[in-house]
Amino acid sequence: MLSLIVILKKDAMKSIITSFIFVGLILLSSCKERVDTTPNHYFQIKVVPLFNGEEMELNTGYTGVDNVGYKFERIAFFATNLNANNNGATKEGALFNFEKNDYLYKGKNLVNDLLELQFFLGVNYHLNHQDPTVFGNDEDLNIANVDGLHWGWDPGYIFIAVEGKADTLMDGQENYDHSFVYHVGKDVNLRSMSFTNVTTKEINDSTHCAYLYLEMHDFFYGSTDTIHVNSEHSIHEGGQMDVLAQKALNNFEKSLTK
Amino acid sequence: MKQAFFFVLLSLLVFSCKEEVVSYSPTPYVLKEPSHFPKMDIPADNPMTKEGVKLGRHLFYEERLSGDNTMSCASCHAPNLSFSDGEVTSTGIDGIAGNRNSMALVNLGYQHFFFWDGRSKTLEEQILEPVPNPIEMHESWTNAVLKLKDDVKYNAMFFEAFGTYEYDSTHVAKAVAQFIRTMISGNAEYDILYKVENGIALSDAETVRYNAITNQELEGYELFKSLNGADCIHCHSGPMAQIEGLRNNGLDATFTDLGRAEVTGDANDEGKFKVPTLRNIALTAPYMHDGRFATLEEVIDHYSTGIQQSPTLDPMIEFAFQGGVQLDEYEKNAVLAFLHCLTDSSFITNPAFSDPE
Repeated sequence: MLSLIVILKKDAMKSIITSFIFVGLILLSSCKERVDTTPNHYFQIKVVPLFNGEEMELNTGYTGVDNVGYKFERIAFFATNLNANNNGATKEGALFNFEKNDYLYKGKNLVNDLLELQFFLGVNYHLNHQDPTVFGNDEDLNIANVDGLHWGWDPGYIFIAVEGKADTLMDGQENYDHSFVYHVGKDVNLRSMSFTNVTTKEINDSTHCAYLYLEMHDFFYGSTDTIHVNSEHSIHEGGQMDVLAQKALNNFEKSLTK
Repeated sequence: MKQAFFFVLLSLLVFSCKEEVVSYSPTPYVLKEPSHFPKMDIPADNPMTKEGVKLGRHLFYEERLSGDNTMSCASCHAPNLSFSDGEVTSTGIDGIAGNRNSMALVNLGYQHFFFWDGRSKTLEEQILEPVPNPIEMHESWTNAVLKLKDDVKYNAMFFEAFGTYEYDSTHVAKAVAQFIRTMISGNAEYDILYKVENGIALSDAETVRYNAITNQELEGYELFKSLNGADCIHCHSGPMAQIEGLRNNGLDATFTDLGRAEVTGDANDEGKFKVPTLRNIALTAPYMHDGRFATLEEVIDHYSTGIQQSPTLDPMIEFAFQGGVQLDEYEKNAVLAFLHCLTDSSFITNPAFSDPE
């Protein structure tokens, strides 16, 4: 009797073990690593400065409509709360700093066409008054990456910076000896920007790039306001009441187009 | 009894002659960075270790790196002068003077280019230059490393730091770079003012120091920042008290030293030099790339009335058309008083940065 029970138990044991092995095999095969064949997609937003419709460079002379010559040494602006297509392509803070960082955004997103783009021109209050070292080393708002465009608590970040030299003597001789510096910041000067259907090109199989254009001729010669570089060559920070700051900011805002 | 004494003596001798075991198990070095500083980027191929920093410190003060064994890095970068040398331009082992002033070594771990003309992009690259330079330490790296290899102390330290006895100039540069990255200065009155301006809480000790800043120093700081005052902040802002840039600050109308243009060959770079930090500026006379100004008073006079126009003059020197910012004597004295607020005595007296011998 006892031996029969032992034999039965042995058989039961065998079937239990066999079942376990079988189930285990099924589980293992179902856990097989799947190879992700989805291609990586990258999306960029590039800013292209122009002068009279031509792509421009720093430290090169350009002539305005009234024959004043301009050489730019820095063109920069901050964009915050950037949101593209509401699909996850977002960035808290970006610094466009011509010839150092020409892109407002570079990320791993699938954006074939940039249908909607929103950001603030400038740095929103919340970000503008944080300790500028709290941002990570790879973030544009980190104090190490702002290229001098952060001046302590007040005003915080300089929202737009346009610097260079002008040749104001229309005598046929090149003489860029008239400096211009337009630095506008302060919370009251934050501007909201919105673009639709921004031209987007396929750079390669995996990367799409959308383009914004910054027409620096229009910065000086705006549709409603002209900045007369002879007498209006310098503005810093710029409170609400500063006429030149408002003029510079208005013209800059209108110069940035899709 | 005599036999027993002999046995004990022999044992002692045997044990005392036992070879010191050198092992390679480097300990990560944790940098003490001030809370208001950005995080330092450490190159992936040269992680900070206690052994590397220790070796770098010895090498920084090692005179055998020079051709006649008389000159070390510290010869031109002395701690009490915020790691500068007090000379107009530095003189090498052959008595030949260079054409540029020795730069202070402060917070270099946060920088992205080096030398007055910005020709080196990494600290490791920069460190390789002075040893073979014929007007500086004038020694080949091969000879310098051979001299180090004659010293068992260095062989052991290199093994502890890098796990090899077959070390070369790149290991030397890495070790010195690690040491220099520890040389962080962030404890001056300037830092306290910076924290207050950026809403960063002060410790009790810092509050006491903040309250001790004089009215004259505060007036100087306001002028320092004011764009219609001394207008220093365009180039000397943030926790580093400098921007990372190369600028022409109006020293000359024509250039005997082309500065950055010697590296790039670009006429737009003529007369441009690295913007130095103002940290410990009161300790680092003489001033400018060629050491032309003996005192801070002369520097302030330059920005006040001595600006020279040239095609590459920085547009942010806005009052160049009138020779400068035109400070009066009262304002000059206030700016001068403030500049002393950038002195960090704890940095220059830090025993971790002194000669280990």
